[in-house]
Amino acid sequence: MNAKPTQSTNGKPCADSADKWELILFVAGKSPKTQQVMHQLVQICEEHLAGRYGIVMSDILESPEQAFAFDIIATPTLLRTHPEPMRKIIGDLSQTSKVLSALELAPCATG
Amino acid sequence: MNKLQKTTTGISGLDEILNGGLPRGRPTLIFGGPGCGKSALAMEFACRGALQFGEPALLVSFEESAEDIITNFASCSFGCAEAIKAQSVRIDSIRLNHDHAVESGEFTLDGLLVRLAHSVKSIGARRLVLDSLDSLFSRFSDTANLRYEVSRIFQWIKTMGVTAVVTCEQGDGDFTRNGLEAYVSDCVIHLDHRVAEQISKRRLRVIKYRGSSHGADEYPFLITSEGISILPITSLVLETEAPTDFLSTGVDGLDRMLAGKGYYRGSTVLISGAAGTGKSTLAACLGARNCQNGDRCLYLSFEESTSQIVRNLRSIGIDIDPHIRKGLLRMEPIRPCNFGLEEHLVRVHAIVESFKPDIVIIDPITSFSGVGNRQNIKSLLLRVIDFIKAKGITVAMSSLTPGSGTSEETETEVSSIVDTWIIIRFKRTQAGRRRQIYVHKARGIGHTQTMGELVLSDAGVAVKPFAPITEAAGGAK
Repeated sequence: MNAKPTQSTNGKPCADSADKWELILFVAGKSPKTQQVMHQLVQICEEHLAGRYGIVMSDILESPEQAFAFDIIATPTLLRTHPEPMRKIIGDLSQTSKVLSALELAPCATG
Repeated sequence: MNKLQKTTTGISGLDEILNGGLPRGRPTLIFGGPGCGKSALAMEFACRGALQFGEPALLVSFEESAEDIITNFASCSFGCAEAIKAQSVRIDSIRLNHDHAVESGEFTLDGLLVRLAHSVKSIGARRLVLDSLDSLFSRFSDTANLRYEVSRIFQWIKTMGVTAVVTCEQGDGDFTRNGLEAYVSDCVIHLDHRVAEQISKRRLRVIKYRGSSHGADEYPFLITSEGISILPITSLVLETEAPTDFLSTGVDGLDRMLAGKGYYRGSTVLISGAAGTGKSTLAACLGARNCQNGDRCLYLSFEESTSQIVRNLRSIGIDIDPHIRKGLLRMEPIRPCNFGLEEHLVRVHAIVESFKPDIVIIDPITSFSGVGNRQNIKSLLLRVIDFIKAKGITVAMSSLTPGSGTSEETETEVSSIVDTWIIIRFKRTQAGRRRQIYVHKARGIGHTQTMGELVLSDAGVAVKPFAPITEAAGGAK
């Protein structure tokens, strides 16, 4: 896997679980657009999961077998492998509210 | 000159309609309603490509699991299981609705393209099936984005140079549900499945084929365990040279009436008469005699079961059982009302293609009168006869003459296209009813104009000169 873990160092916890989140971002090739999606994802994580998340970026052009293994047909696709249940979000994450509700991170009430 | 290259599908009849096959290295769209046979056609295209033409095929299903697909086609004789085992057909199942993914913003279908490319490469695929694209449309809500991505898939197919069959659902009218025909400029085929008067009718039509001529009609087709069978109506051509050798009629006396030779091989024979005159028996004699000489005979029986025919013939000293067991005689009892006329046609076509007979017996042609109007029946018979004749096969048909059997008009009006016409009728004499037989016409044969008598007894079938008073003639033969 083309792994590039990014970890936050500090921030306010938001979700209930104290578990560390494991996220995989599937992209096709390295483009400014890919960088933008990654940036967007880190921003969301920093805001809601600071200190307890890990992101792995997987480039399916380099590792097609990853697309088979995780049943990826569209890119970018964000996969939450932990905590259960698995969540899949297709698209460039530009609709933040949709992303947050799919990940059950919204509303961020508890401070 | 940039001549369009074609890929032979191997599907019976389809390549004739397509004037050689599907556009090579390009996508073809096949659409129709549920159960119209899209997936079956696509699967057969893949398997035949792999096994007959050495073109490995990748089949991507967005709806079914690979296991289900293999089970569905397990009974098909075009070799689905073998092709998969030999890794010349690969099935990728991409179930779109299983992961409940959420959409947020713009996306590409690069994941799908990467997988297609990887799978195509893994088996060196020259053919590709995508079944069906509508599943993508029901999966994604941003259709504008999806449309752009679908057009990329079609572009990718052309770049890869794989011959692709893409299936999709029919929408309103003669269009696809998601307007996919707009993306495919090369070849679009429509499949239709209707049920009228409890009879199922399947039809295929080539809607467009850029850069190629193609059959323009609606073609009836059938899905059997041997795959799809289409009979192109208009592409029948008489290419075979008229054979000059003869086949015995199976009755020596009748051979004598036909210049001592019998029927021309490859000719069309009509045997007409009233009920009980012995038409079927005479037709069966042709089969029984020539099977002894190693000819292959297909007996299409529309009224009697195989065991009835075997028993009846045995009672007059003809045993066809050994021929059946040797595989030289194939009995096909068919109920006329079980299928529509078109289905009968394709069925006969399919059986003839697989059995490759020298002789076909249709007994009787008049039993079709219950399944269609006069004009349709005539056209059906003409097509059956044309098709069989074009293959150089001898065809003998029995025809029931209504009433007393004195009429020389057959109900089905096929007499104009037959080469040899034998008429049997009952003649009342002082000695009772006797069977009078004569050759009404025999193209290219100097036949006798005199009447014969057909005698059916436990000693066999015989034709003798018709003597006016038999009692007086006694044993005279």
